[in-house]
Amino acid sequence: MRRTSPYGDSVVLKPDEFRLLRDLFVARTGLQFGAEARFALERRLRERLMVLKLPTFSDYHHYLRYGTQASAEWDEAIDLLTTNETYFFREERQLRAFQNEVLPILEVQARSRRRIAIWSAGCSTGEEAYTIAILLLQSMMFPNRGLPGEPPPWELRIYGSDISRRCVAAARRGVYGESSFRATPIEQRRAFFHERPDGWHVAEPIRQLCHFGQMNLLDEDRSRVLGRADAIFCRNVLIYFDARARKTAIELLYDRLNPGGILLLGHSESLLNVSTAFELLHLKDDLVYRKPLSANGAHRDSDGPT
Amino acid sequence: MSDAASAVRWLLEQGEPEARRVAVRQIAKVPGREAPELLLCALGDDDWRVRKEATLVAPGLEHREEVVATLVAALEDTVNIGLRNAAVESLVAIGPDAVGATIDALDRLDADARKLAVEVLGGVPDTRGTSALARALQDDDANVRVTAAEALGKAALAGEESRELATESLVAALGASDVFLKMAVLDSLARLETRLPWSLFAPYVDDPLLRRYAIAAASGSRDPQAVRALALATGDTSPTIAREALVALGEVIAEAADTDLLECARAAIGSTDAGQASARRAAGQVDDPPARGGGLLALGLLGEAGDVPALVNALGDDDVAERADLALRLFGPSAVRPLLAAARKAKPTVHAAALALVGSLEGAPVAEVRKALRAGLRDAAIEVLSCAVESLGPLGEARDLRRLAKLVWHDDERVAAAATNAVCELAARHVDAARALLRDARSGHDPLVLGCILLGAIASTQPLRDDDVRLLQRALSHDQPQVRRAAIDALALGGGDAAADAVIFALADEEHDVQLAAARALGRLGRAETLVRVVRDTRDPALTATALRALGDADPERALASAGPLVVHADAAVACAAVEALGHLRSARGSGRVSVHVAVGCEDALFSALDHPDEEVVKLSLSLVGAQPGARALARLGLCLDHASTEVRCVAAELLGQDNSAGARALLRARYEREKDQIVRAAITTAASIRPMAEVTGSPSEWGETLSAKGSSGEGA
Repeated sequence: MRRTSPYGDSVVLKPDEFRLLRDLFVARTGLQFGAEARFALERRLRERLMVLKLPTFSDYHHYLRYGTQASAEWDEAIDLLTTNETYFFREERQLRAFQNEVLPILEVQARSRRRIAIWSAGCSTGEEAYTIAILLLQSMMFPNRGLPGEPPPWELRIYGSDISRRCVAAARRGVYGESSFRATPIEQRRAFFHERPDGWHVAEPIRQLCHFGQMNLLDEDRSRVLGRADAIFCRNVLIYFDARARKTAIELLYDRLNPGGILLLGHSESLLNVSTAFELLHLKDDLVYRKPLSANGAHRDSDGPT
Repeated sequence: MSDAASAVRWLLEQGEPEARRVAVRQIAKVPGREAPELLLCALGDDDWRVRKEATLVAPGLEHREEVVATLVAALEDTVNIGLRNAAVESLVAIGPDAVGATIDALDRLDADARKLAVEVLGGVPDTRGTSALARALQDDDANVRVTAAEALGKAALAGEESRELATESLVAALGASDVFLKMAVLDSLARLETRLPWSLFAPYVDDPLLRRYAIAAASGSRDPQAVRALALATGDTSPTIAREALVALGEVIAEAADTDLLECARAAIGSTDAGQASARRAAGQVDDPPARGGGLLALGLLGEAGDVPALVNALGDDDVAERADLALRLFGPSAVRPLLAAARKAKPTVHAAALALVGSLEGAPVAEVRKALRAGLRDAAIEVLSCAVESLGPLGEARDLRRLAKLVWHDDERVAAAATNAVCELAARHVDAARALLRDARSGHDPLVLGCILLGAIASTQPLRDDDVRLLQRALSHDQPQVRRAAIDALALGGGDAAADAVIFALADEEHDVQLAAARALGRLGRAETLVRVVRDTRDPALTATALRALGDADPERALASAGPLVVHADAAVACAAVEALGHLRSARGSGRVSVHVAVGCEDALFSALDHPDEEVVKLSLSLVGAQPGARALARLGLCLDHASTEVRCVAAELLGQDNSAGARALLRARYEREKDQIVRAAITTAASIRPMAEVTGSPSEWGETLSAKGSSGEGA
């Protein structure tokens, strides 16, 4: 039984149009849409056709591909099609493993350069990046303010990137509602956020550590802007990608990690059948991936994942 | 041993796994017949990354026959389990070329190795493999038999012939005494989505071990008895069985072609309190979309007002929104009141989806719906406001025109666009009210904005007056592009030489949107000559596409003559524009506006586009060719299975899968045997596994009878 409109005048996403749009989205963003997503795609994108006064989804496909304002329209489409639901201290067990087991490893590896860079790839509205910043500060392993007679301070930097322009803007703003704190202990909320009429604001010492930018995980050139990271969080992002895009994104993440750098994926994600380039690192409570210390990080062609 | 082979062997003997992993990639560069030996060494490595890398390298090695022979021999290794598993994975990755040797080996391998060989055959969709697996159901070893039964569950990936063969042999094996084999058989029949009679599964429903599998296997059946059994099983004491039954029942409801089947399911689910409770529980489980979808549809069938909030809430979850929408439609008009009550308390996106649904719900009380939509106009949330405005377009009355007209100037572009559309629809239905509003608008602060919208709507139902045309001409020089565009649209609907002359100037407008509107308008006004010149002179792909499409409206013959040569244009964007226009033109054949001669010309031009060097042009053309396949199109789709681009091959496979004729399936099978790319192979197997329409719509009972007649003679091992 198909959904029908008695008026028969609404714009319908036909199968061939769905195929064209689906292929275009996966090629550009890596986001894959199975047949079951046709309804959602139609429902979410219909408003764009109305705004642009386009009669069919075929016209919208052409607009995205060749329209003079295509670049801006891609931002609109991505904002409509991506899921942005997240919260602070999500997947607490993994974060505990990161704080207790991964950070000490990174501290040893980065001790001589006294610089730690962590990338939250697919950061959505920024909760993950700020969570990482809080964990770094709480660990007390990386004092970032120098005192006379003590070793030079650490330089800490957390990058957050997302394909959605709207998400990146929200992350930069750093103001959150109640739903973002569903897993945040009250003492941490009080310590690292300030309540104001428009919501909870990230405290300045945390905000200063975090930098945000719009980035497509398939865009290798853009990713180079970030430099290399000691750890990358890419949780619950690859599940939305097709096999080809997943492989491309993993190659990019591998390339962007320092040797010995750690990749943390979501609990339902793995690199099985995607890449053999990472070593498995068994932690007490989690399993993460590590770029081999012996890997030459500069040239993927000779050394990257397959 | 060559220098290259020696170097790789030395690297493979290093203590550092990363060095060995990188060395594995060098195996492909080793010339001659030493590569298989090195591969074997890597497949037996202690480190999983090295073994995995070797399985990825294996399909790319030369001397494939020797590689396959080496790998098949490795299945017999009794010491290194890692090596045996890696050999299985490599053989599967090699694909059809590994099938013959694996089948040949079945007669000489021991039971453990035969089991692995059967796993290989299960991993490579191939008709030869399916036959061998069917024979393996009679193997002396119980493990081999069960593995073969499990493997046959994937046989549909090798096409319809394989599915039938697998189903037939599995049904025959149901007569076996081995309970584990029966489990595997039932599970595979479920995965094959067989449409068999309920009588085949009924004997196992009371068996505590087999009940779950029997219920799942019956999910494809559209036999009323099976539907009833599924509905009753939703109340099973085992949560697993209840879930399986709900998922299956959801599929039945979603695909039900006749009301009898729905009534049957409704009566059955209505008779089990436990089933209803299970459906209500599942309807709230956000972590299990298949069960949630089934639960929602079951609640839709039950039609109890108390369940509406759960259905409304699910409208906000993309994974099940379609099911929730369908469930509320199954409810019918009685859902409207509780639906609106629940929507008012829901978050804005859900509230908006609910308003859209009631606005299009068959038989819904219009007065009540209008009231809700008018209330939506006062909502603070943009999503709700926009949706209410959009839905009032087709449903509203004359008195709504004025309040919607105010929203044409709304700051949010979605609301403004929805209001413009709604005003057009209402004005076209209520011309007197539109004229009254127009008189007021003329004395307002900016008469042209609303005037153009209203006149466009009026022009679609009756001729414009002279002063109307003058107002529109004046609007063509308005400083806002959307006003100029609206004026052009209205003039196009009004028609006449004066309108056409005015619109032609808009082709030189500095705003791209206005140019496109002018091109569309000229098509409607029948100015073919001008459009031919636009196509010839412009380098803007979007304008080319619009002008070509407009030309199709004005003069299909000339549209074909202009677009045909452009499909091979070096600029892919221009070629795509031409392809799109031709597809659009060809699709108008059914309307009688386009002659057979032009339609055939369009098809020829689309075929020419398949030779374009840019794969985007080819994919677009392919998609349009595949939308209306005939014998000629089928042949071209088949040719595209050999295209150099893997993406083109995937699209061709998908389209052939949808065509699903015997010819299409033969083309897919032929390509599969030659295809080396694993992603394309996967696309082909997915396409080949789509069931032919004849079977879907045919009588399942007849089909099942044939099978059970065949199956009754079979005896399990």
